Amino acid sequence: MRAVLLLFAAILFEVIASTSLKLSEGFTILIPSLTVFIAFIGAFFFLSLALKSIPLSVAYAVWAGLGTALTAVAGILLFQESFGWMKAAGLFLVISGLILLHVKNSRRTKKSRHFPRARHA
Amino acid sequence: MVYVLIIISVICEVFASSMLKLSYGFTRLLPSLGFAVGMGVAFYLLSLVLQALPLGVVYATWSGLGTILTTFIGVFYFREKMNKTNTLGIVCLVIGILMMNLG
Repeated sequence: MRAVLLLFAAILFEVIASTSLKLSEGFTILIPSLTVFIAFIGAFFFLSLALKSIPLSVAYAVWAGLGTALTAVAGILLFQESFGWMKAAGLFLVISGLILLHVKNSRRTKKSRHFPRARHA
Repeated sequence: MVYVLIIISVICEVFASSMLKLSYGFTRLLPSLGFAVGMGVAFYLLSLVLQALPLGVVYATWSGLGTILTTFIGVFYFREKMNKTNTLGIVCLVIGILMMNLG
């Protein structure tokens, strides 16, 4: 349970970072520019703590999928970005793709530890 | 033009992530510098893109393209096999990214 909260903290910081990146207007405004750095360090800090008990494949898939979804929500709520059915369906497909590839990538990494590279080559 | 910036930003971010792995927890100097420069350029370019396109679309496109590039590096550089799962993942990402940017 504690690890799940840590993972959500990491995702929240990631969304704060990407939102601040938009607000920084090309790193020309000071406070949002500093927030980008601090929030990204926070995101990686909490992610590394969560990874102590959540498997890498699951943590990365949830992080990428939920981070992308919440960033889209932040765009709609804070910047009044338009969101029709086409964007919604596109977002759904992107999140599905991120989850499929992240679960796959990490599993492959784990597997290659047991089977040295020579075997694939 | 904006899309050229996104693509360069994605390449820099994937380069930085690879340097992060090679830096072994920032104990090696050159990969650590590579990480810092790569991430710096990636986020600066992304901030420029965000001035022209909506946040939700940019972030989904950026993380999607980064994941596709990482997968291709695995296949072409580390000779990992394409299979049903990652083929389906890439198809979902490509169609999803196109729909978000055209919608």
